[in-house]
Amino acid sequence: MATVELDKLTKRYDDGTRAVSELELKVADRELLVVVGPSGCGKTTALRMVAGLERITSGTLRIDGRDVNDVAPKDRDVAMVFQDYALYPQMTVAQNMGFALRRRRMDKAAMRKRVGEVAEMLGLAEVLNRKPAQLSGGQRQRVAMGRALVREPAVFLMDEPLSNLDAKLRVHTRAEVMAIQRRLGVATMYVTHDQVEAMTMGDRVAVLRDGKLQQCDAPATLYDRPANVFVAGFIGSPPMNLYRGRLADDGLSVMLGEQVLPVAGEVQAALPGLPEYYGRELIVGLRPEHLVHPAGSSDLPGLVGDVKVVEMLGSEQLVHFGVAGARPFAATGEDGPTNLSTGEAVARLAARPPVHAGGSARFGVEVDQLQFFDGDSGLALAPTLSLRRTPSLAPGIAHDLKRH
Amino acid sequence: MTTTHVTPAQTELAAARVLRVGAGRTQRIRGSPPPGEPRRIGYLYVLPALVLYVAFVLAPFVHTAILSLYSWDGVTPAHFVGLRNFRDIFSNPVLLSAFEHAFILIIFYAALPTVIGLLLAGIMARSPVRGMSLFSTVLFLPYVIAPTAVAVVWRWALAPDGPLNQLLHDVGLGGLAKPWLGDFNWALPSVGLIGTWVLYGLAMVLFLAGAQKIPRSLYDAARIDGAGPVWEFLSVTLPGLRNELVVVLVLTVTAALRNFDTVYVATSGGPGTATTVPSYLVYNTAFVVGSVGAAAALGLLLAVLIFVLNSAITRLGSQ
Amino acid sequence: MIGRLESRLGYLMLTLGAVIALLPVLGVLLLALNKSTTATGGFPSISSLHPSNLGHVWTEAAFGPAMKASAIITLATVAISLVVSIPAGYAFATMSFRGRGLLFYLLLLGLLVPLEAVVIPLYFDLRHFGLVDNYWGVVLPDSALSVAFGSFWMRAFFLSTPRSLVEAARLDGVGAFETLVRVLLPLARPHILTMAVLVFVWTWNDFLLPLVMLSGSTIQTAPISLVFFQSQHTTDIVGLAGAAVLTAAPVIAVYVLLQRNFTRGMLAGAVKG
Repeated sequence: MATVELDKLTKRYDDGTRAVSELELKVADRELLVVVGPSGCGKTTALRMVAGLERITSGTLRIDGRDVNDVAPKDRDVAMVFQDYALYPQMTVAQNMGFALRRRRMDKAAMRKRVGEVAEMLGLAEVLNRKPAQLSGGQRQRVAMGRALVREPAVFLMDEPLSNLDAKLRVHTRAEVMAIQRRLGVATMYVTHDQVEAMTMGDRVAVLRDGKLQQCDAPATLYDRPANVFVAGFIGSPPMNLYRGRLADDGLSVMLGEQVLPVAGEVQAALPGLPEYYGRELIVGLRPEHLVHPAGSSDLPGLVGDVKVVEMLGSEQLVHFGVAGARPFAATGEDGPTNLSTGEAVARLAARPPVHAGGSARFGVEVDQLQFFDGDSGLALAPTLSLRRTPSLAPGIAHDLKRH
Repeated sequence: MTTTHVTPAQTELAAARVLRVGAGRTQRIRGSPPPGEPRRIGYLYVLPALVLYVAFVLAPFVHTAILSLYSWDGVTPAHFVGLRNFRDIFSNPVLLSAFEHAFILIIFYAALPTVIGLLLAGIMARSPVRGMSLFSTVLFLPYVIAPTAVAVVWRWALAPDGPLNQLLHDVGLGGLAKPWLGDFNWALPSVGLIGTWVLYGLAMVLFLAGAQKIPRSLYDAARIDGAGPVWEFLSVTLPGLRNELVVVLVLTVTAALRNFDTVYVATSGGPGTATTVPSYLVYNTAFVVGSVGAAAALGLLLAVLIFVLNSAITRLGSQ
Repeated sequence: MIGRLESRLGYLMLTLGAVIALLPVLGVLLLALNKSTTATGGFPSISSLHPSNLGHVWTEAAFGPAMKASAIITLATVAISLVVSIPAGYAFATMSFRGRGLLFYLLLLGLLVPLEAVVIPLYFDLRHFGLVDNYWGVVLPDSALSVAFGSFWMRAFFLSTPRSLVEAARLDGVGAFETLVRVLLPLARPHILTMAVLVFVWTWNDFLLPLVMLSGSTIQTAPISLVFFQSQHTTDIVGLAGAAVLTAAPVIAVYVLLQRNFTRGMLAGAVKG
């Protein structure tokens, strides 16, 4: 039973670059905490600091309340699954899994028993005498897991453990890893760049950007109440549509360019801070699924746009359209600016009837789902508790905001 | 683009030879490494290598530099003469001619094999080579055989009544027969051709292996762009072989300047001084003539020459 | 098709190159096995093979002791340069200690220093320490001259192994030395073999260093025996051929056996100081 506490953890390199800035996180006992962010956001560095593979520049790392900043990796009681698995190629599966135990002078019979149990659990019993090169990708991944499991550590650290698997196997293994983690109840810090992985696996998800924590919440909260425009644009696929808008002087409507959307009463009520923005510019966010099919939405408020591309996915269709006259806000996502920079919004609609590219259409809007963000700071205008704890926005976002 | 197929060791070794790569690829040394990471113990691991290297390479090299400023016969006390040994080299036509010979030998040792190798690579670049490992085994053979043995054999082959002259007689070209290694005009080119024989196979294998790794698609693209064979060679093959070119030139030029064994056995610098080369002079001056200081100066100049030429080659390759 | 013509021309060139490389070697081999001891000129024929000449040369030129001396020097040099280069390459690749870059730079200088530029002080200085006219006088400098390449070569290997392997070992509680021996060295076998072959070839074939360092002793290496034999028997063509074959044979054997490793090293541009 253990907890991990990252107290203002900072990593600064000799050349002055900060990989991680004052990171505050806590992995509760039995919890699976996923750290997610675009590449270069510092998530792996943070994990490596917890493992002891990277020196902590400042701040304190506590495992089970004990300050372990200066404790060698082997004495931290942590086990790690590496992105490339780091299996010892010349050793068999059994030797790989037992290597750390032998280091600990464990009794041979007990060692064999434990390796056998873990191998059984992971379905590796048949391949215990094979070498890594003779295994499939999925088996190798499980050996890497097994090697961590046999040690029965206080904390699991996983660095993109599924990124080398093909898409189908990844989905399957995702569930397996979750099941094992739940069953063993070991505090786990899991790093990934894949927000779908983060959302499906994490008890809580921490979003990092430029070494700074953006938000740490349960997946649903993260999705429904993103703390700022970065999280809004990063979580969700396709991402949230973000537009510059102006709130009417009476606050009852918001203008996206020429087009006007009413601000629902629920929204007004939920955002006590909204009156401050009356007559001012802000950023309006709307998830693709909160747009409604042109057929059958005539009674809803709507946005008119030119349909540019339609992706038919079978059960649904993704419609890319330009909102006439409105200024999109570009949030920076995993692969640079999201599609919003091209001035397109995305609607996730029922598959039928098909929408055709090339024409103009009016999409219904579930206005009670509108989200508002401060036009300068990018912070959400929301009363959610998590927001209060969220530190100030990364300078990068403020920069993005100024550009537009 | 085409440099991706070159092994890191290959690029680095060529560059390292003229010290343009230091700790470049190692991770930055941090002010304080993570807990439990070995650091000071590292000195223990490198100590034996450094001790051996300093004692038997670096210190002697420095001592050579010091000796080059002295006049010493190896027995009686040495006395300081400043740069006189170097002035002597540059004013003595025999000594100067040794360096001239070295440059002529570079044509035979380095230029000829390179041209042969590049020609082959240009011809074969687009087709996979069957039996490559057999060819490379045979082609490397002359390079592997002890240079002394090579020289002994060629001395016999090029002897006045050796097989080469015999062959010339047999085909009615007896007029061309001559004591190749004993002829004032032919001795140096003959020594040079021994070098060519030792090194052309190496150049062939290295260039061919390099050319095989150039992506086929580049040739297809060149062809679609309407490139002829010459243009194709210049725009695809040659740029793709840049690193191999550096490696081959460094190896062969160095071999041309360090051919003591061949010269000692084949000609002993003769006839007259027709085949004296710096590496032979270093040995002869120090251990036969007994002018240790002068020999040290020659050795130092040879080292500088190797350093300068290797730098130039690597620089050329990195452009 | 142009491609086919080109490829034929290429094979022609390759074959011609192979023949020119092989013909003198085969010729000498046949000559060495020739019956007559006074053959002069011409190309020897296959019909008159007779291996007894090799035995004759073996005793006449004292090749037995020479081969033994060469073997001792070469194997000792290979062993020492490996034992010294492997830990050095490992530390340069995986450990951060102050001055690492500088020390590596210093070592790299060795790739550029030719033997000719150090052989004079080696002789006169080592004479003081009794390291001349015995095996150590050749083995130690030869090892030192291979160390620059060796450390470089092994460092390149250790850099090419995934860093996570060393880190996984660290998390598993394995010390630095054991990580080297148990985790990395088993993977390094081809790399180590390449280095061993190269050092073997360089050391066996070397002439200048033993010539100088063993000048006052009865120890002779194979190349030295060959050259002395030549200077005494300039007209004994068959004997000379036999001596040349004996000198080259061990290296050729090692080369043919470990050809792939040798080629790998050459492709990387390996060279000794």
